[in-house]
Amino acid sequence: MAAIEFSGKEIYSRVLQAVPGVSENYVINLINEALVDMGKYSVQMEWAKTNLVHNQLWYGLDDNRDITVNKVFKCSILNSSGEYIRIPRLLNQDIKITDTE
Amino acid sequence: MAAVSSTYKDPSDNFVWWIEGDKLAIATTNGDGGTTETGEGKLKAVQIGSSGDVITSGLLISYNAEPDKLSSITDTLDIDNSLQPALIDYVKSKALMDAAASATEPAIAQIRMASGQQCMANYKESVRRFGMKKNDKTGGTRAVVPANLR
Repeated sequence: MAAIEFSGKEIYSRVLQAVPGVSENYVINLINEALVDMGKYSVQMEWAKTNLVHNQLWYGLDDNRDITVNKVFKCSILNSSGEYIRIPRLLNQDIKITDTE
Repeated sequence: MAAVSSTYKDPSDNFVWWIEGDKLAIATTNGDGGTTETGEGKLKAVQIGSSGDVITSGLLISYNAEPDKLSSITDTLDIDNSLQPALIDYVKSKALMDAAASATEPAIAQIRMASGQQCMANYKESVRRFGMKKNDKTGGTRAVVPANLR
């Protein structure tokens, strides 16, 4: 059985029942506001790959990239057998190298 | 820029990651050892060859993401099915509260405000308290029936 998926149209029709006369654009804005609020919780898990670059310590996670990351919880590095091996998170950040950009 | 193959047998032995601001740091104790700061045993940036060399798709991150933006009313929502009723509650709540604010009759404003607050309460319960559980698609025991000891 195919998954039931809502489009913005269905939500718009539900809102019209409660508040007649609201515009589509207004509902789109509210839907996006809801999606941002939902993004604060662990509701969507994804993964992404990128190149490991020589002599590059920092990899950007800011919102203007292809992916929007709210919380990284696991990192893995490709090994010589083509497998991704999970690496530990450094909790004590009191080290010499810091981001100065 | 040249693509090189990974030569790391077990990266978990000598790699670490951490977050600072909106940047992810990947550091290793493996290195060229050419200077004091890049000597073996100290954390530094990955040393995989010469300037511009990369291990293609060498880094994999798992993360909690923000759902994609809805740009058209006909687009499908980028959230799990189980959370779609919660999203409807959120949108209805905000729409009702806005409508209450602009209502001229106090009785109508009060009804809309009460309905809006009820929708927001439903949303909070769905997402903030139970969102993760409803979204958990791993199997397992759902209920345990205790043995009858009589």
